[in-house]
Amino acid sequence: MNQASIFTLEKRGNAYKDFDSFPSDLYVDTSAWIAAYNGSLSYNPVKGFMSDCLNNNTTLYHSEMILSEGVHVNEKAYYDQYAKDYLSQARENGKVNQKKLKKLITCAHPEMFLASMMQSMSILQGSMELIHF
Amino acid sequence: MKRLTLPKEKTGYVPMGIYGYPQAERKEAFLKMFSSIEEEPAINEKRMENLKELRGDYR
Repeated sequence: MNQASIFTLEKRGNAYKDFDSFPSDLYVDTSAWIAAYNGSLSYNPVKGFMSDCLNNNTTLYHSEMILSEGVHVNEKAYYDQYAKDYLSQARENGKVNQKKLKKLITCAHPEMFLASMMQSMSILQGSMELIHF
Repeated sequence: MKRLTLPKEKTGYVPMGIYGYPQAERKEAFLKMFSSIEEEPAINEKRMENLKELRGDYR
């Protein structure tokens, strides 16, 4: 780490098209992974950069934290999105009953958490080795 | 601090995931992992928001 450069990856644009050398080691945090999922149907510079690094002998490093963080942000994204459809049904005396809301969502979308979790987890797990040091 | 290295060719060790592919094929294998994701942009935006909330980053 005492010889590391720290830089932030641009989410947009063609920032890396002129790269002609790649780091031997790259630490990837949760934000980078979340950005990599984004726009899977279009050009994604974060994903593109990471994949180019892999073809150039870079080792990606992740903290174990990103597994739990990834599950959390993923789950909540779907939950919040679906919640919109059930807010009115979960309202009691002008306030939203959170327990009822959660039950309505999970009953209507039983596959939701598992499917999205498995997708993102499999990508993370497919790009990492557990290293003991 | 010890230098971190991927486990090299020990007896019986089989690299998993993308590290099971030769170096020249890792990019393709990596991008292929994303091919199953089909989502609305709204979900992606929500993810970034949730991450900021998780980390207490309210900028």
